[in-house]
Amino acid sequence: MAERLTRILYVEDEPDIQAIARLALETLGGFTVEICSSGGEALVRAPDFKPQLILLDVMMPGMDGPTTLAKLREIPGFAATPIVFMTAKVQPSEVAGYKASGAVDVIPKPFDPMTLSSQVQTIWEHCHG
Amino acid sequence: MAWNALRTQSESNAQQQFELHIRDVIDSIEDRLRQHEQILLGGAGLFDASSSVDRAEWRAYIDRLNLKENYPGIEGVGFSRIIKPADLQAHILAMRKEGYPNYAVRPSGERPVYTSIIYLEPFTGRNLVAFGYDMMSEVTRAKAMRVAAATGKTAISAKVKLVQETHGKAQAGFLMYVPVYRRGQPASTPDERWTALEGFIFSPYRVDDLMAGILGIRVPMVDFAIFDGENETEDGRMFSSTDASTGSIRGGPKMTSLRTISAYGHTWSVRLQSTPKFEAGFQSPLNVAILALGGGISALLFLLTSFLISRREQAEQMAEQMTRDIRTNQEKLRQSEARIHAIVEGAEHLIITTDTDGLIQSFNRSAENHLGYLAGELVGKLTPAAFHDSVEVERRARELFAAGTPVEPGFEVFAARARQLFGGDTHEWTYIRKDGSRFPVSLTITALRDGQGEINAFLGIATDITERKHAEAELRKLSLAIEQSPVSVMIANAKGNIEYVNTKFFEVTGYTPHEVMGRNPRMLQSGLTPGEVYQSMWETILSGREWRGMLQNRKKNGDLFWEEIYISAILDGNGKIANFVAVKEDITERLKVERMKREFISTVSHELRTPLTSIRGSLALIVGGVAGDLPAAAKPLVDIAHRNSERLILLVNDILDMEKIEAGKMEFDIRPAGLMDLLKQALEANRAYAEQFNVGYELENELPDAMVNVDANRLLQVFANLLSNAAKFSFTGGTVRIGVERIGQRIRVAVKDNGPGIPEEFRDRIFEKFAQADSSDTRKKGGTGLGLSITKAIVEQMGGSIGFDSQPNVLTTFYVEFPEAPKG
Repeated sequence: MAERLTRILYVEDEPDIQAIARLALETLGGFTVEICSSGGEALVRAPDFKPQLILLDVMMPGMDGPTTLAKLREIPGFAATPIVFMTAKVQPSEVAGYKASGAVDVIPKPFDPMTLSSQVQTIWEHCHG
Repeated sequence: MAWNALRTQSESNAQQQFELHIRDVIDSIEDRLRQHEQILLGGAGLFDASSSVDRAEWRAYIDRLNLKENYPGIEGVGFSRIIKPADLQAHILAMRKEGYPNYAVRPSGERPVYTSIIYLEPFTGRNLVAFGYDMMSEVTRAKAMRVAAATGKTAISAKVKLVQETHGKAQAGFLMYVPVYRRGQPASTPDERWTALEGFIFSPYRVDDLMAGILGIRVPMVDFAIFDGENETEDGRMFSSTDASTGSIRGGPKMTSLRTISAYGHTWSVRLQSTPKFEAGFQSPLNVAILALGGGISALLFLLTSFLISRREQAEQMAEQMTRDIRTNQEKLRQSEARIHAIVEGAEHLIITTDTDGLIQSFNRSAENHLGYLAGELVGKLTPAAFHDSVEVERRARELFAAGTPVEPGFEVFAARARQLFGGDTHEWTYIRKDGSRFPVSLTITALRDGQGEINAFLGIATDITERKHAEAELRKLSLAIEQSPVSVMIANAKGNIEYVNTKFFEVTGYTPHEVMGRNPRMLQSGLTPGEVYQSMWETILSGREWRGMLQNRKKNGDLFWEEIYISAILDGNGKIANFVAVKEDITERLKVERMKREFISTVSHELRTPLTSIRGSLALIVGGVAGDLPAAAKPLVDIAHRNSERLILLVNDILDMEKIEAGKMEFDIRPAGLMDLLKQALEANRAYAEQFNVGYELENELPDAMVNVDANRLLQVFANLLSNAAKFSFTGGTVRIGVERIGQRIRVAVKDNGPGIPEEFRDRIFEKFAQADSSDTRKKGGTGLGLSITKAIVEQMGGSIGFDSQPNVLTTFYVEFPEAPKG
């Protein structure tokens, strides 16, 4: 039986969306959520927070999602952490690209906050199934 | 005194008459000699034109001349061949082989060169004797032959006794020779001519027979004798018209004259004197009176004289002959006139003749038809001014003046140029019909001349050029339209070389006319268009269809540009390609604008999604109770906001899909998929939506093993669209039934409802963007108006098709079909 998912790191530059995601994941899903506003911030805080799963926005100023993913992988202990992209860009070639870069799945934006937690849970279970 | 005066007048007239007779005799002889020369030249022509003339051909030629009828007095026409001594035996053998076993060149004996009469037609009677005779063996003949051969001209011999004189009274004779040279050999100097000499065309003449032929049944008003050479010697006498048996000319004629005939290098002297008959004619006062009537008395008057005073029957005979001649001539003239009349009256051209002052003399039927006048209204009464535009005539007069031909603006405007030219003068005019209406003509005026070259009439031949003018105007209009067209037009010939391009072409490409004309349009190729495009282009054009497409071409300065091009082939009357026509529009700018528009829409839509995510997310959380219970009054308002935020997101998604489709950027991940799985998934996903309308879905049947090659997500989008539409447009409590079936190699999925269906007038545009049957539907039913348009595009991109049948309020079916994918 897989480990229960409790700690999620969410990287998103838009504060309003951060707030909604926090509500959706913490209030509705009961997860412990750490939110970072940029890829750089995530690289700094991830080692201390030790998330079990990372939600990563693709389009961000500065360091974008895929770059952040690559850097995170270089941090010891993050080589196999499931990383899920959250993006509006979900054409088949784009999705294939994300998966090739090491993402386990993609949650299309705009996401439905009422079902976000269950979507994340499903992905988690899929990874440890 | 009066009698004396009359007497003197009579003598003077007699002298004039005598002179006329002399001329008549001399001219007749000279004319006939010329005619005979023509026959010989014709024979020589036959040899010149053909490498060899055989006996049969020669016979045919002479037969056609009908010598006996047309040239009485000519003995025959023959060909005498030159033979070198070395060739003599071979020649004789060849002739014998031809069917003349006794043939020989005569006389026998050795000579430096031989000639032999090998053809002489008609090959009968006296002429048979001449066969094989070497005329050059005899000095008189040889002399004439040598002259002819050396000069290349016709020559006649001195007086000879013809070999044909075998029986009966021997007549004086002479021969005429025309040399024949071998084809292709130089013959410009006497030596070259001798070398090239092949032989002679010749005619032997018996002078008495010849003269009888020349004089016919003429009344002998003069006697004459012909002497060979310049002197009247008895040896040289060739002919006497009086008594052939005595050959003497009676003494004491009133008038006498000596003339010479110089012909073909030879001279004959002719002694002429008046006959008693002639003299008697001038002793009758009646004749005096007749003769006194005019100085230049015609032959006819003279004939009358003869008729009155000479032997009646002879005169009658002569009159008969003349009448016959006149009748024949008149008949010929009548036939010729009838033919011309038929041509003139049957012609489509307007044919009008005038006298030299412009008075109309004839006016053909076509002229009547075109101008509305009857010939009788104009002929002898009016000039062509009656149907010309006087303003035009004045203008033409000024033009002629400016061109150095000053004329009054009257008939001379038409005649002046025709007078100067030997051909016709052609100019365009406007003709005015009797009813005042006008039409354009092209008029050619020719001056008609009499035998002396004096102009005695003008002939005008006009062509109605209404249609031509109309066609020209039409053509000018079209040319102008093409020239000024805002798109490029290029015309190439059948070989593909450029024959025409309009101004726009130069503007677009930067080339100048001389850089383009005659070249192949591939000069514009950028090298960036794939070869298959050109291949399919040519296949289309050569199969007779119009090709439409886009090519990326290159301007003179190297810049690339996009052209939208229509090309088609123009066929000639035989169905062969005569030209290629290309209409091309530079769409570089348009494509840029379209791309910018799409990019703008894409950017705006993406930008809208971020705030929409927040709005819908917040509202969803509130509606979901995350923020605690709402006051009762607030709940419906938040619901409204939430529902509309959902709609806004759908709209943005649809717009982005549409943009992707139009930009050709929508991606498809096509792989074989089980149809029923996807269909059931779609039914499940949309069930909740349908329940809003109190509508249920019912799967009618299954095709468990049906596989299709599709992008699964896109197919789900298609099903979602059709299922949601059916639910939305069903009556509440209704059921949407879904059927699947195999139709040949295809799988059809049909979504059926019993709703109000699709109004007739909307059916044509149901798949268009933002099309909704009722513009209030957007509000009532929700939806973006893009759904079916996107659905259709997606279906077609995946190789499928979409369609519908609708019986309003009974049954409406939307169906999609895809080729069935092979199993396994």
